[in-house]
Amino acid sequence: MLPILIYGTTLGFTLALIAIGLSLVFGVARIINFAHGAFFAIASYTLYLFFITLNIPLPVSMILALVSTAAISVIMYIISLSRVRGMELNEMIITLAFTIIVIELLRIYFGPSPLGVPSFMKGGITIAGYVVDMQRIFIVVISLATLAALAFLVKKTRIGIGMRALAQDEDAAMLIGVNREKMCIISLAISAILAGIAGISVTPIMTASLEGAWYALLNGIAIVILGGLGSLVGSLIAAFIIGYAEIIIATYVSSHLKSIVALIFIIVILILRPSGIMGRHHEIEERV
Amino acid sequence: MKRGVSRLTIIAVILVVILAGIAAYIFLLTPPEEVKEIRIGIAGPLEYIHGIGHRRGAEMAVEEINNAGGIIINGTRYMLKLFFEDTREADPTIPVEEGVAAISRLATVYKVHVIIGGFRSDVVIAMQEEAMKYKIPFIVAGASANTITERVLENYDKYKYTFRITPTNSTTLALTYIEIYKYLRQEYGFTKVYIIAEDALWTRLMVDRVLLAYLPKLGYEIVGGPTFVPLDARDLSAEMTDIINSGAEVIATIFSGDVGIIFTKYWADMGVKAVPIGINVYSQLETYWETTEGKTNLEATLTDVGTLEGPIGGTFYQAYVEKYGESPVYTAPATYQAVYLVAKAIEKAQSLDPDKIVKALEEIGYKGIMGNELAPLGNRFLIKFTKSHDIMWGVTDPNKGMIMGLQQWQDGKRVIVWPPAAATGELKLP
Repeated sequence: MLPILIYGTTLGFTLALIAIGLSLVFGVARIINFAHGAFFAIASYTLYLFFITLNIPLPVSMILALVSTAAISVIMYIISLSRVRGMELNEMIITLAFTIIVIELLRIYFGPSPLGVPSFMKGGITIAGYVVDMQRIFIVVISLATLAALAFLVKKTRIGIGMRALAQDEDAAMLIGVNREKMCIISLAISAILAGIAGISVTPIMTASLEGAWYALLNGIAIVILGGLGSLVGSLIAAFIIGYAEIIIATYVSSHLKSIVALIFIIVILILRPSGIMGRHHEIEERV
Repeated sequence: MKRGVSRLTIIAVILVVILAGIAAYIFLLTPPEEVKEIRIGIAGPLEYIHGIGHRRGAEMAVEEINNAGGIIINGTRYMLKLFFEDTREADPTIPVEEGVAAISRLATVYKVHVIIGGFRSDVVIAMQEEAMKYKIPFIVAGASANTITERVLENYDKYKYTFRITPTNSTTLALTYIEIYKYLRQEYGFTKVYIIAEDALWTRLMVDRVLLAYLPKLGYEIVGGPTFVPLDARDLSAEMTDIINSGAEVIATIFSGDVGIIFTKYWADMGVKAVPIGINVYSQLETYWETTEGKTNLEATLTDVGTLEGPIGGTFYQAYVEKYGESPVYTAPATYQAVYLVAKAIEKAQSLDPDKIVKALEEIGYKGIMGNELAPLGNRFLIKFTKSHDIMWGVTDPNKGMIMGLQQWQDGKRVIVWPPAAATGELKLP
């Protein structure tokens, strides 16, 4: 059981970072952002570019990778999404196309082979005979710090209050002076940064790979649906449910079924409880 | 006083004029020696390591042959010229049609006499069809599917233009694997093995028909697995926990994709005691130490001994590293030798007729020739073709045919630890 706890926890934190960004964008901007996986991959590859190729010190490379990822997300919004706001199908298709374009560009520039980045922290600790390396401990620490910072931003800052206002009632928020476009851009940039932090943190373990984009997108969507669209707390809980479920399935049943755990959750939740664990969109449920 | 021109002067002038005329005829009027081309097509994934190996191996051989004066056919000097076509086949999403189009262009636009290359078996099978259509000798230098050469036996007249210089086919790859485990059992006394492989048709066949069938006969207890890992797996913690709990001493691995990198990282991160010995294609690469930040230490994989510093491929390795600044992959020495084989066959046939080239290749191949006698930098193992035009497998003896080696990462260096004829060190255990 101990390995399940250890590795399920690190996986849960990673998935939480991926999914909360996705949930945030839906909550504030009402965009189901299929480009989220691309941000995960962009951060991984730009970290490789700055840290390995250009030999820039790791902390600076991490910041540059996150800034690049956020900048690309904003550019994507300005040149495409802002023109189709409110047209959900168009938004989904555009963001999905963006992901494919990013993957192909990364393939052309970096090649199809995965790229390795050294662990940020060396060594490990042994718990009851099982080794936990420092990179995984780093993932847990950075995830906790990021989630705490996000909670502070959402609860205590003007930007966060604006986001919450938009999430609760868009029209009312705009009436009291909340700039919707600005908030959408900020939430998308924060979302990209969250996906980027996840991408950067797991790159030493999972490598920078093109498949990472789909991995992040698939798991992100499953978690957001399970947790409830737009619910940050729901996404956090759902990330751990899926993380532990994947590890348990792989341990006791089959590695193959692990990859379909997220898909099964998507189908089951959409049928039985479309609003997810903590979702606010009960109207969906009522319609069903 | 009038003085006439002396007779002697007149004769001298006439002689000079005649000699100048002869010289002019020799140096100016005689047409230069006719030099023609032997056109060799290289078809491979030219932007990827495998295709880069094809390109560089071919360039090295052509440069050497042309600098030595090329090839004389019926009194006419021929220089070798290379034509490249990118098949992009190293990318699994690229359809086989790109390989077919590459062969078609080489045949119809560049009108090559011979084609060398190929990497992905499904693409190579399609490329083979196209090359056979134009009756162009096709030397496969990278794909292992048995089908490619089985076709020569099934329909000789159609497929006789196909030869394979590397690697050995899937069957010999599997049998080499078993030879290694026989050696490990005898020399190191391992008994408990865990089998883990990426989930692909070829790995399932190898596990079911070879590992599960033969390892128990060698005295091994299969304490865990076979576990087939999805090709896109990114978390192997459950699999590593299973290996730890199984009490395995050795992990029989089969990975050709990037999940092998994930395997190595998880194996090291989780402090698994059992040592991985098998196939992990990515770990063959010189850059793998950096890719895994040294986590691959003591991991062992089957590899092409021609790509490493050692008694078999050392000469080529050194020349390649000096020229290109990095280690070769297996397609490089193979293509290098293939160009020499083709040159020798054409010289022997004294013709560019494809049927005559095939006959000459068969005669050279059936008789066998040591790689380093064939080419200055060739691998020191016997190059010999079987009836199916496959390269002969020498098991552990390079004098009997091509051999593969077991490479182990030891403190940042790739050391060949098996077979003894190719070894540069001994297997180290954790």
